[in-house]
Amino acid sequence: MNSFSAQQEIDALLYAYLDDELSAEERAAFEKQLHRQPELRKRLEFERQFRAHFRQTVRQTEAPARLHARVEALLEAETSASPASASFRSWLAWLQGAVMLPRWAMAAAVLALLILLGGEVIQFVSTPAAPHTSFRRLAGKYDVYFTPEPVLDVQGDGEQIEAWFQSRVAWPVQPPVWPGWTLMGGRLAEFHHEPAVYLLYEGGNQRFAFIEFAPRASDFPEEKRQVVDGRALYVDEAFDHPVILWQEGDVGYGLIGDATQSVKDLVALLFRR
Amino acid sequence: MPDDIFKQELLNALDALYRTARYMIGDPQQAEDIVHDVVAKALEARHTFRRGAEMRPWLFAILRNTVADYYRRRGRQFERVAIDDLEYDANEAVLSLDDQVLANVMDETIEKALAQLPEEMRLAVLLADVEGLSYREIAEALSWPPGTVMSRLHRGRKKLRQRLLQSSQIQAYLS
Repeated sequence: MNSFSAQQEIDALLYAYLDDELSAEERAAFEKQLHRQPELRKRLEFERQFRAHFRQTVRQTEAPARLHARVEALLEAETSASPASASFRSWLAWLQGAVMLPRWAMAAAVLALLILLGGEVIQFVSTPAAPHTSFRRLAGKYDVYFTPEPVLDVQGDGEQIEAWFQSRVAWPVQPPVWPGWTLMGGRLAEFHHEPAVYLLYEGGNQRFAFIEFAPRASDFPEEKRQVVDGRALYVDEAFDHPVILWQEGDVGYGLIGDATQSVKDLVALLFRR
Repeated sequence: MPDDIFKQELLNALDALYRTARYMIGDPQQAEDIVHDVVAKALEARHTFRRGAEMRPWLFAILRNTVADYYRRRGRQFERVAIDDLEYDANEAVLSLDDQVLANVMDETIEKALAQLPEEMRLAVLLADVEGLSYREIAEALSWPPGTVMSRLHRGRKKLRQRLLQSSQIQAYLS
């Protein structure tokens, strides 16, 4: 074994020792070597200190508060989307326990339950259907890119934005013109592992995004379908954003409004284009 | 895994996912977007998570794929390790590091040296030395054979120390 490969082997052992990846026998053998070689002990100590310093330095980077808030909102939306929500499951567990009671006691318990807690039951029954996954994901990206202040990949007029997206997405991007609204810029996003386009428009104190993406059939669920002026639109709300989606050829399109707008506002916008 | 525990584990992993994304692509805003996507994908793919398995390797696997998608959108590939990078460098064998060098290493120097590592090596170093994943967990997260984990990790560590040493010598010379 030449000196380089011997050195390489010692390095590998030293790292594996610190990584706690040696077997008991290998560990004992390496510790004997450490005992005999002060230089190796010095290297080990340096390596230990270096790792601690490196780890401490990199770990100073933490997720920003805004990301925490966005993720918590995503998790909250997911909870409310679950067909068996936590409150429903707890009611179910209670009722399952109740069937062990005598019949009269169960009847009384159910009656008391409906009288005392009926409001919550009614609230559960009347909770509107949760937004579909594609609507949630598209609206969630709006928040990440444009709230509170927009972070844009490209700014300029429609032609400049069109040119910027030309080599980045598989279809021609032609930013629509909306009278009374200013095109603020665009953002290259990702949806279904494919590039997607987010264009941000501003008018007065309101904003909305016009989006283009490579769609999948599941993005357009039948239960969200509405026909307006002979045109099939898929409408929903997610994270306080009205969202409408539609498809033309192989491209999916959408409008995402801010919290001050409604689905009707977006539909009106679409037909004013 | 119960729903609330799954979500709590996701929240617990947020800092680790963010800093790994941040050091992989450099841009804090893009890192934020990527982590948001990782969480959304994890929620959608929850059924593929094996009960009783460690969650962090699974999340880092999603992160690695999302970062690769990000690179692809920008017309480039995840930077793989060249064969030359995996060969042992004779100069490194005589590399001498001492406490004085460590004292001279500034935080921003570490960040720069890390950014110069090939992406695969950088990811291995971050997962092992910052997030404390075992070789087996890294192999699972990155779909690498265990031997590849060891070689890329060890070479990444060596390269990092070499760059820090060069940098601290330059700093010492300039001062």
